[in-house]
Amino acid sequence: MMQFFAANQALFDFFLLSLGFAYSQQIVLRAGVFSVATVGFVAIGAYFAGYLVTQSGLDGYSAIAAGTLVAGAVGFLLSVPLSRLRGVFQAIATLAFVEIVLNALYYLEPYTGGAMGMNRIPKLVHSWHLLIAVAAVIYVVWAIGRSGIGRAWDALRQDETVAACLGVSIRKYHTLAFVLSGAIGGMFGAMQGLYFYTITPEQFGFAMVVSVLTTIVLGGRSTLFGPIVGAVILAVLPEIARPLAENRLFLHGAILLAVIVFIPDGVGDVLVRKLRRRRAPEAVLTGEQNHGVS
Amino acid sequence: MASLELKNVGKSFGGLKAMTDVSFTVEPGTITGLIGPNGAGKSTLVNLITGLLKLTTGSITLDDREIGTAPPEEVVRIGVARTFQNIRLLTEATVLDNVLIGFHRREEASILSGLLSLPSSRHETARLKTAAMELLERFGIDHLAQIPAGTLSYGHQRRVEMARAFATDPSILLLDEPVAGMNDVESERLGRLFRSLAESGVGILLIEHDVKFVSRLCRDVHVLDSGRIIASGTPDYVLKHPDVIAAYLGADDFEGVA
Repeated sequence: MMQFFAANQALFDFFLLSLGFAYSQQIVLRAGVFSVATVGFVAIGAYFAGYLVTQSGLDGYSAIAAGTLVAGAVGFLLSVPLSRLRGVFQAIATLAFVEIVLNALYYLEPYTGGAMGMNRIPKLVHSWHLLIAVAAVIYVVWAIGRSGIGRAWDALRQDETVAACLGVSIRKYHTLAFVLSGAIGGMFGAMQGLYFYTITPEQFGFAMVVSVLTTIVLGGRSTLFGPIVGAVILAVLPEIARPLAENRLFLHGAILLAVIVFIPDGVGDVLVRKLRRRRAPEAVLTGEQNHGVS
Repeated sequence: MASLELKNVGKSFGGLKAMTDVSFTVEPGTITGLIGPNGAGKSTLVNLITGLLKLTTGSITLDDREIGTAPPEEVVRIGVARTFQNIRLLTEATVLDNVLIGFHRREEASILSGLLSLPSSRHETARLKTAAMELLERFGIDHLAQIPAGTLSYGHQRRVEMARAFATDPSILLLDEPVAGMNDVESERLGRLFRSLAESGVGILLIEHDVKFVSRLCRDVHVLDSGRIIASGTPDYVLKHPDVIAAYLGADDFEGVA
């Protein structure tokens, strides 16, 4: 077991990071917001933490906290104009946000290092930091699922009009989703920045937007397990496909297409639903006799 | 308990007048009927009352509180709940979860408490689940609590939607065609349920297509046609009203009304 981890540590760490990004993405989708802003939050977190550590001599924990807070605040600001948009328009607007962040990284060269990126960042983040962070996020997402927040988000996602007619404040819960998505994205961005020694703008481009979205499409939008399933598939898939050499991407694409066509709700969500359904019919049979009131 | 009062309600979409000068009252503890042919504006009126559409003229008040300009989440907080003509349940969610959303305005645990699953949030969820089960029992669907709402039969879905609306603890309940597409036995059962709800003090506005069903349940009936009230009064009175007969059967055919 230990040997396996030692041999695959890089893969495991990559899995933990992408899991963090995936939860940032899932939270907005769960609340019925079609935002792809996660990558922007990640970039902001990474550069903030990198700058604070290399230029201001801040310690790693404070830098991660700062990255988390700043990205959360940006999420709040972003939610103000975006709460007026829906669906595809929201997606396009958030894609523009990612693009703006990316361009800012190129142009603010004195602070960000421009196209050359930020180098010689000390490696302050290790596997166990990532593990703790992922555990914390999973706990929060689990807690949300059992609270009124999760119920409000699920209602908003499924039918916004109905949710409003039952007293759910759309603005409040959409803003909360943006802030949390920003904070989680920023936190894992900061950790990525303090993990890889170097960060460059092109890491946070369209390719990353697609890969983060893919995690959720594969795994599922609404259950705790969705991102885990998605991130496992995305982390393991390239390894399995290694013998195919240059045809790797073909297999990757084919599996994605198959999932989108045949399991549009995501592998994780569908599995969870199947398990729940299996328990359901018994309830009908045992309850049918006391067909009350009417 | 409060009464719902509509005064000279009007709604225009651009130059088109969809609703003109509609006034009536729904008293607590009674079932008031609103009937009218297809396209008369019944659902538009429900959307106006619940804040999905904004008034152009007039006022809608609940116990002297103006709700005609309030957003939907505010209207339900003040005390008006509704069901939808084409049932709108959260199909992925279980029956229990659908009703729990109806309790949203009773939730008091803080955001932080929810994010960390602190005791206040956990206890609240447990308390609301108990309350939701009691409500499901009252509507005769407690045995379906764990079933995904989208897989239920039509009649059961109607009941879930009513239980969910009732969960918001309304003073006034707007039921938009609640027995559409149901057989006589099932609508008779629902009629009894409405009476028991009204007896508990809720004012019900029953929006219906089915004239017979309304006349059995309501003391007051208002007839809407082309966005105007063309007759108001007891079921017997309005059903014999020539304008009503004309509206339902077409202006040329005055004979042969049920």
